[in-house]
Amino acid sequence: VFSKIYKQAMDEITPNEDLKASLLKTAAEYKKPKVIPLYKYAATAAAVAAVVVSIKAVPYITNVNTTEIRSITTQMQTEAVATVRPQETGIPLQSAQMSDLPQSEKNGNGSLAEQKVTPKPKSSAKTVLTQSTQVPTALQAEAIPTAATEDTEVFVNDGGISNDEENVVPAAMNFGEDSGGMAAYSRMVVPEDELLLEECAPMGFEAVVTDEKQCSFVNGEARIDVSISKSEDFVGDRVDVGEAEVWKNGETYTLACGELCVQIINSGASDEAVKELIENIVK
Amino acid sequence: LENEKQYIIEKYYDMIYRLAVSQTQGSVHAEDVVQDVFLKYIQSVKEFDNEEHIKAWLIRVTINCAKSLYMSSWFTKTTPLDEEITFEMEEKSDVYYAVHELPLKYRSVIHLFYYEEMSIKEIAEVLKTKEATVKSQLLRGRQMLKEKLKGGEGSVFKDL
Repeated sequence: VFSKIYKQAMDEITPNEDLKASLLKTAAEYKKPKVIPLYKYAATAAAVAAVVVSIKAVPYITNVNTTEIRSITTQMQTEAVATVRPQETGIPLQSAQMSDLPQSEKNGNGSLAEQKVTPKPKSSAKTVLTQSTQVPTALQAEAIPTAATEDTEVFVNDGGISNDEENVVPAAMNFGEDSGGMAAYSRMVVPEDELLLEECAPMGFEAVVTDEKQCSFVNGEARIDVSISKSEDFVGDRVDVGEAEVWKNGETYTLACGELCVQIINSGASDEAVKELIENIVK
Repeated sequence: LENEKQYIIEKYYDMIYRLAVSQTQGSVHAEDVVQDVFLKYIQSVKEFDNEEHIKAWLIRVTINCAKSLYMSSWFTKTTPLDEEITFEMEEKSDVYYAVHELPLKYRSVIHLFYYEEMSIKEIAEVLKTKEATVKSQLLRGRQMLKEKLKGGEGSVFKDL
């Protein structure tokens, strides 16, 4: 009797049909997660750790004895950078000589004096360069046909990189008679406290994360190491940049950075010239 | 049904639901347990030998989930709302609530024995315990039910 009544009582309990339908739907849509062998994780992790951004290096100068290309990231204000804007001087870029430059743009040792410039839109910079010099932008992986003659050439490079508001300022730098070569740099303003690795890569540098706290922009012998303050953010994404260090024959120049990214193209410049350039930049 | 898991859910949902009701205090907790059980089943990568194996697994997981619910800190710190299940006959209500007042371990055995009509051996296998244990739990469960349900001379449970 108990068994019969108990069964009847339990049969009167109505199961929740909505829950049943939901479970049936879940079962129909459920897909088993793929099991990835551990070695695949290891390979992926190693690849990510080794290279965050691997964009082909774009050499700016190929017809001269380019020995170094440097990149500097610094917080320097735009106005503080020594630059010569070719469209302002009116000097043809490829054949620009130091003697052609206005005296106001030279300093005592023949280097360019510091001059405030007003950032102009990137598109404008490209237009000027294309029309007057046929110098490709950094985004074009072509050689720049400069008639380099040691210390007299002024090479203007459009880094081809900017963020929305600021622009790349074509810049030139000559280190005078002591330099034994030439150097040029371009710069870009990046969002405060953020440096997008992908944005640096087109400048001719390959961004390599060397460890959790540091990444390097390398191109040939030149290298810039950037410490990363938030390591967890670095993988394929933006990194916060604390400071940058530039190496030159064992010497280290520490630059405050985070706002301004400066690329230096150094063709045979002496150590002193590079140092001077860097010092000019970080003023 | 498109796949085996849907087939199993469709076939054993009512059984598991009622077992969960017998193990818990009301349909709300039972639904939590049922959902937990079938989600475990859906996500399970366990290789089952046959359908009986799946059934036994579902029953065992249901009882374990009910135990987990009772042992959870949330359950011990909360008081469920009174949920009264009404039945057509008073006897059914008496039996249902008498079983519900049993300790959990007796409830499991009573439900499986009387509702699912499983043998003592099958219950022992499902609960991963000895047959002697099932027998003693069944005996004690019956005695407790008899005490709860015994009535006067005309009681339908006098032969329990």
